[in-house]
Amino acid sequence: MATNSARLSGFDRGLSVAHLLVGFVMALGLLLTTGVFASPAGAEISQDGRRTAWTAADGSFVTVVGNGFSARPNQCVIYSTLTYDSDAPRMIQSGLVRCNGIQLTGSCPDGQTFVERYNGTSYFCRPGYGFNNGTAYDATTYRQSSTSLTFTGHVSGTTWEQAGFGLTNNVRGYAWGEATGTAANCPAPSKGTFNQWKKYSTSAGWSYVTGSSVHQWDDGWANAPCWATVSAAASDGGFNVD
Amino acid sequence: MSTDRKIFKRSYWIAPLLIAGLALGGTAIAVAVDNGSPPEELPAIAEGESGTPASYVPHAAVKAEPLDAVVAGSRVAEALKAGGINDVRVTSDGTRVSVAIEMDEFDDTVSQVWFADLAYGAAVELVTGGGSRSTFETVKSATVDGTSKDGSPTHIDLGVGAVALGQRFNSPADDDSITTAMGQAAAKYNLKVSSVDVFRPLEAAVRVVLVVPESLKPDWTIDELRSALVGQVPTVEGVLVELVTESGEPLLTSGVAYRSGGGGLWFAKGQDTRFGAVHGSLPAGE
Repeated sequence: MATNSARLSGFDRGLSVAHLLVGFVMALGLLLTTGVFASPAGAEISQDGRRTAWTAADGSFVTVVGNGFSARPNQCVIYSTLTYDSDAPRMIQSGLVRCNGIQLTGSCPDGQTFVERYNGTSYFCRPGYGFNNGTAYDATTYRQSSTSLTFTGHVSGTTWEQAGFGLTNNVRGYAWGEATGTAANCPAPSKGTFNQWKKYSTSAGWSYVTGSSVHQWDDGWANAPCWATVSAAASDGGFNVD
Repeated sequence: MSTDRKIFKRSYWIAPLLIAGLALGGTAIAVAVDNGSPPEELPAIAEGESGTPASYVPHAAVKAEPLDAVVAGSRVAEALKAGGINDVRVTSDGTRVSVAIEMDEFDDTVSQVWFADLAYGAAVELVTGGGSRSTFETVKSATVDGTSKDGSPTHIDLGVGAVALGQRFNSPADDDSITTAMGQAAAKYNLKVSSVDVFRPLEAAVRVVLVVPESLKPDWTIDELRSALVGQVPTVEGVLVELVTESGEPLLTSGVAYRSGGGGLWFAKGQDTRFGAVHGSLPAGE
């Protein structure tokens, strides 16, 4: 004779299924609110690094090391620092890029440093000198004065400016690894190191970034996030992505 | 109620809680892994700024006789007049060159920056004579001044990169052969040529407008298309590709000027993904 625990009524079975569905909906809700399924407009990307808590950043400096890139066909892998005004919007970015079969924004080739700017509608890129894996390069973006709406970006061999940044807008500094392109998977292996990450204030000068938070975004690459580990920040603001 | 049934009723909530917990834990891992170790010791730091400049052709560092700055500026401005270039003023402090470009209309669009970049690269090449140096060593500044659509004056800094001087692209001497090549390449990608314009800042630069059938789902990228149009090793010193709909609506504009290393990209929503146009991205999820 079957025991009570083994013989379930139809009502009990229906209730257990309902509870499973409730759990699934709860899980889906959690994932949606964290934005894991939300996909930004544009090419497939994975962004993994840190951003400043401070929303009035006048610049971002970091000593960046590209330890490993492994870009897949039709993919670029970037290690960089950038300043982004999400209200304007404007962006200026300086760093290292390796691409496989393509060039970043059409002109920034594999193995060169680069500065890229975004003017609110279009992206522009200019290459600097070639770089070596495992070697550190100073990359910076900074506002030219307390009243200037123009930011300068610089890294070995290239300098550029982007106007139109706000003075009181939501302006943050970032340091990250980014994979972008039409490849089906993340680059692997890939690792970047960011040392001496500093933020700039036109009134107070440069200081190590403290209180930064992890920034991670991907749009569903099979093995995303591409850099699953964003390490804790050191006292000089530095961290790894791996 | 039997003990077994009580246990089972408690277990009603275990499954959904487990699922939610796994999702939350997985999300936490994905969103905020923050338990690694501090960065390692700094590796060797590059001394100063030097390195290999970018070159888009294998035969760079060709040396020619430098041209007078005024003559060079006039020549380049005349060659790019149809692109909205009014004046190109080149000055030198004996070591480095400054290029000031004046345009009719300037709103920092991809095509306008492309013409300015062509002028910039050609002027620097003429005044320096090319040779084995890079633009970073020889250019002090490059700027554009113009008038915006709203009538206000505009000014931007074109920036400086590290691009090898003395590049030679071996462009065809006649425009017709370039136009024919554009048509042949476009046909292979099921695109129709709307227009081809050839400019001669030094060698050839080409602007091509291509019509994209509405139903087209490309299995190629804009980089592959560009290579097909002008060669994997480009045979022009600049190429501006404009993809438009059958009714002429712009989809994507990509400009590359190979002497100055300037690249620009504009796209309508989603068209960067459609045409595999790769660019550094804005922070997502902000």
